[in-house]
Amino acid sequence: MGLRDHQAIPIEDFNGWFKRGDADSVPLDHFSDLNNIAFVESGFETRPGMDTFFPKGDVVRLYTYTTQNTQGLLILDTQGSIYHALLDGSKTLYGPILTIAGMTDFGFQAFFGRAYITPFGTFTNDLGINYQKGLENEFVYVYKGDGTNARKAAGFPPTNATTTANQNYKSFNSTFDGVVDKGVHLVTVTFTSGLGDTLAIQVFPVIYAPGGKQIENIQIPLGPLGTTGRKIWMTHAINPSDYTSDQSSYTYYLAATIADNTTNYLRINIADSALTTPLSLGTLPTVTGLLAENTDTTGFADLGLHLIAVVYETDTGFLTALGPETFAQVNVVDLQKAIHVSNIPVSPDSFVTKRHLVATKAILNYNGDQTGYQFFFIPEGTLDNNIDTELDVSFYDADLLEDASHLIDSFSEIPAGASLNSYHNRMVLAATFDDISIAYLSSPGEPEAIDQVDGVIIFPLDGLPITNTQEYRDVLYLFKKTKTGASVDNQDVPSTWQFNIIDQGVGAAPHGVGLVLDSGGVNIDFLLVADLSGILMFNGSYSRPELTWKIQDFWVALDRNSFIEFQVLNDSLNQRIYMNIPDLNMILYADYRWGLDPKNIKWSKYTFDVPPTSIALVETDVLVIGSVGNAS
Amino acid sequence: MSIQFLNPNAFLTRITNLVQGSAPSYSWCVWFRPDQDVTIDYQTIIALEGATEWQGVYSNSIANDYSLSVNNGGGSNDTPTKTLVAGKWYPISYHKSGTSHQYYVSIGLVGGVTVDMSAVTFTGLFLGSDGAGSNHGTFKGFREWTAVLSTTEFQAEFNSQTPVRTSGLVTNTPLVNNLLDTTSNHNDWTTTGVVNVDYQFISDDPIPAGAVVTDATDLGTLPYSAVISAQPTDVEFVFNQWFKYTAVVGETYIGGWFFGALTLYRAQYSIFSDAGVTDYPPNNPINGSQTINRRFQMPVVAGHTYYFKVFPVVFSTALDSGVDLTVDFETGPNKTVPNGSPFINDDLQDFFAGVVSSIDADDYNVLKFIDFVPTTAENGGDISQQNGKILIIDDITAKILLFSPQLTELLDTGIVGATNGVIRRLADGSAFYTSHALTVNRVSKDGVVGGTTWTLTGTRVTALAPSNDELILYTSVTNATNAPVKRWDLVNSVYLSDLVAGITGYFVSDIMVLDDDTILVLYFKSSTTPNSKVLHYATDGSLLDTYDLGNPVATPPSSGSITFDFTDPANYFLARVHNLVFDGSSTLIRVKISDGTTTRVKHVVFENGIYQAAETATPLTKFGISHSCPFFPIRALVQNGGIYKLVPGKRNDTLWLDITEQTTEDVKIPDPFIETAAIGN
Repeated sequence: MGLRDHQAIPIEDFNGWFKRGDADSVPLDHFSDLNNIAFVESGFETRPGMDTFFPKGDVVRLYTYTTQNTQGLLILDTQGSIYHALLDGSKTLYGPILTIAGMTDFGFQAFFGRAYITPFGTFTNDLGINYQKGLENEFVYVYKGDGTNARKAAGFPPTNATTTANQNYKSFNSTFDGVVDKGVHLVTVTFTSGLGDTLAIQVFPVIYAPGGKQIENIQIPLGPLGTTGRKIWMTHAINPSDYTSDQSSYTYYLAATIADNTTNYLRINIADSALTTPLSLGTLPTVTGLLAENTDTTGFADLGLHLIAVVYETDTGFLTALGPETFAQVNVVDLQKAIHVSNIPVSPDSFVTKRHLVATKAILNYNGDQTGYQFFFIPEGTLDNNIDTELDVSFYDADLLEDASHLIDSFSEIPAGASLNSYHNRMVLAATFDDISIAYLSSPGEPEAIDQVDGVIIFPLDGLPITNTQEYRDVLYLFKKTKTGASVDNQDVPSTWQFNIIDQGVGAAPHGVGLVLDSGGVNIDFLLVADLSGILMFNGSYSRPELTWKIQDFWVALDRNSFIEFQVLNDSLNQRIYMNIPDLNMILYADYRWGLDPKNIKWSKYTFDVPPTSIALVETDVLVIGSVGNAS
Repeated sequence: MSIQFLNPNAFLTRITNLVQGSAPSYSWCVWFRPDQDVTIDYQTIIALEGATEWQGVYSNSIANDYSLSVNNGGGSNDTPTKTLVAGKWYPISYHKSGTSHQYYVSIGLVGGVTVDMSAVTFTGLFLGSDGAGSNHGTFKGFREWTAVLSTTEFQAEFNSQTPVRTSGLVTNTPLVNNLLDTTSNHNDWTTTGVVNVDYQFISDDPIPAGAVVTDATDLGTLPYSAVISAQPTDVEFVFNQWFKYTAVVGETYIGGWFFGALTLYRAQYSIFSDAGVTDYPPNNPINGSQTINRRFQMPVVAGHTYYFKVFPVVFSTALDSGVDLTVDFETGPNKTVPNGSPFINDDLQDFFAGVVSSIDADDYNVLKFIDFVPTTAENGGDISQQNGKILIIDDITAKILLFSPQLTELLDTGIVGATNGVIRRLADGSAFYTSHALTVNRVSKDGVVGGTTWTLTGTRVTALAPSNDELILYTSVTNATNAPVKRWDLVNSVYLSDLVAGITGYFVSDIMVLDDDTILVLYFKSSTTPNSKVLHYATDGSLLDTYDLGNPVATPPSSGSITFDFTDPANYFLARVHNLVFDGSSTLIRVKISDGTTTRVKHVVFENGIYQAAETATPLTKFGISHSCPFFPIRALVQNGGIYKLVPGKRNDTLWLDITEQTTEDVKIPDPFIETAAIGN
């Protein structure tokens, strides 16, 4: 018997919060409002209590970061500093491993136990709408997980130790017909001044003239103060079989005179018969530029002109662009001799651990454009240190298999973006300060090697930045605030991949793609995506209605500018969803044990005395909450 | 730097652009140091001269007695003399207003004469001598205006290496390394026609370090405490003393003190957010006589530099023997705030709320300052003990706002807040009742405004408290003595019979309903026999008990207030009253309802950021709280946030209280509840 003849209505299940429409539209088995309620079978209870976890304050952002051995947290605090907390019971807190003024948030992606970090910030447009992109003049950083400071990812290519002036001179066969006698010629340059003629270069170019052609001279050295002119000298034709590597053993004759100290290009056309004025060689100058020369050492190489350059390898395996500014040139005239490479640059960066020599195959008609040729790693051409400066190498062109040309366009410093993720073992970076609609992808397995030309995907420009990227079922999805696009690896460079818009009404917040457990990934046969319209399931297309259908009034009342603060976590083990809402001191909580669909999911609110600025799952399914202190 | 005349007959002159006698307003000032005693009559130090007319300062006897002499051709009129000691710097100034001529030394008026100079044409201005005397002296900074400068303005001029007043400025010749005028008037001194121009520029300077803002003493890092000499001994003048401080990261509030002496050199000061131009804080600047020898406290922004100008309120020749100035600065407290610590808002914009110790006899201990909205109304805020959220009136926006337990703003209720409004919670903390004039609203503990707005009749609501069943609102609406405690029917919106009649001579200052439905009423009598007392009533108006809180000051800045206890609101309540002899302090009292026994904590009041207790060389405390604002005990404040985890089965939350110390505090899980919808059909 009910009260005053009212009939009791048995409610067997409590299905959580319902905030949609008027209060009298709330189903009988739902609550019009609730707080700190967790669900148990057919009932509810007070949410779990919160306990202290790690003594690090002023937390803005947390990520679960697992190294080879230990799980930990990467923590950004209000001072723009990132720390690394070890969760091995030691309460070790490394850092700050990185501090950047103005860093209010950061993106994170782990590769091979290392953490890649991109600092970003929130900007406001003229309409008062916030958006996120990488910080200006900032870069992606790499942290090795060992407590040492993070450093900029990638690295600068080798460079000449001193000025490159006078280290660029190259002399090679012209395609123009002429009278230069067939055979090997060595060419050198002298400066003319009151001191007479002094040698300008240390290693003389060697030319194997085919006969009936001219000789091109580019980047002819400029002399020091007091230089009134330059002269080019060359040997008579040498029978290749008589060639030795001792350049001082030959007689050089005046081939051309330049009556100024400004001209840097000259094509000479002279026959041996006109080479009559000999040069007294004098002392060879010492230069610091990369040098390559023929030797008398037994070895092997294909005949012809080769360019040789250097690539640094960092302690994270990154291969820099080619350097130094001027590559070395060697014209092999004896295929049974090795090539001697000297003045190999030493990096000032302690994280450079190896240096590799790279070379072109023999160039038939060199045009002076040193980067216009394909480079390959020279077998046995690696210095496993950052100390030695010389190496003899031997290689046939057929041995040059591993391409290094793609490194020429690599970023030396990767600009910071607002999103960092992975796809097909490539690092995906999006929304840099200058290019908010571009996603950069690294080479596979080389997260720091991003080709500035070929490594890009462009999300059609609409004035809004890319907010997130995510690999799902072999497809790379890219999100903007209210758009979703996709691109698929075609086994070629990313710039050739086709891009398609998937949905022009649904996008994702920067932290709005739900991470699963403590894996750092999202794949569990579906994605959870927090969009301005709600949290939606995504399995290649968005499932409607949204999972937050029951609490739509609450969701749409959220401040759109605050979506940057929300992180979505999917505790698939216990079938729960968490999303922090710092401004409300709240974590939005869902229990989907009774079904992951808009009808059966149960929503609740967890509120706290402190604002949950960031959340993460550790130890598989333990929810950790970062917070800042009280206003003061 | 200054200019010294080496030859007794040396002088400077100017014959162009002279301010003639016809000018109705005229002033000049200059630093002067007699370098030897006067041994010849009629020694001029500065004069405007015509054919027979004369207007300037000279010594008219074989002594160092200088007076102002004004002669329009009809004979000289002299002021009394002022003896200038050789070797000592003097700021000498003069102004003319119409026919009145005033002569000052060290800002003190030596004397004046009345002479009509309007028909006089001057032919030369002389400095150092007029060619007819023998005067060894040193000068610095001659300035003249076609305006009448006040002594305050002269004071500022003598404290500045550059002219302070620019309107009417005719000439500014610093005389530190040349004879040039820095204005565009080209009133340079000249040596043309001078027989002897034997002078030199020397490093002696009457203006000491720290006297000008550009030379402000940097306090460096806090705490800073020092006793400095505020006065060089060879200058008969009291200078400004400038200090500056740049706040560091993590610093939000500082306190400071400039103390000279209780008689001579009572140190008054002004605070600026820049180099002496913009008063600080912007809305309620700290300056004026209330600062004299008293401490201050104020908010700061890291990286910003603040300037402090200290100056004496007494000018005395006794000061030329030198005075000491005590300077003491300290960063505001930032201590742990445990559960139940009283939170006292500030009524003035710019200043922070304070959280104080609640420990018995832990007097004057401010734990922390918090940037918060200002609230004037003494009972204009309250806290829900269910969820720790605070509902409070924001005077700036005239809104009633809800704050989190960690004092971050959560929402605007949309209700208008009044500077004399009232907010009182239900005893169980599930809701608040608010008033604005005679309008009353109900606001849930989460800030949801109820559907009913009650409009009472009367003058205005001065106190209110709902019964626990929310059927009756106990209130006072008279805003006068003898006011009864009335009962308002919240269901039918009519007055019921009064709970109790008014008490002769007493205001009703505050009302609370305890969870047993009994009522506490704070009465206050402002008269020659002031009194504060809390009467405890049953719901039928019968008196259960009386708690005499003591005799407050007769006309205190506020009449006090009462609020719920934090740990045991059923058996205790809290009160705040000002003390009988208003020594600038107030007392927080925890009263045991059953027997009236009390524990007390005293706090010094800082109003407008300034210490309100008596001027003293030994202040009671370095920091304090405002006097007329809502107070209530709050939950523990988390110092720096932290990292937490959810623990299944745990039945409370544990917060990092101070992460540096790794201290923690258990708090209740905020307000677990469910609410079912009202089904209409």
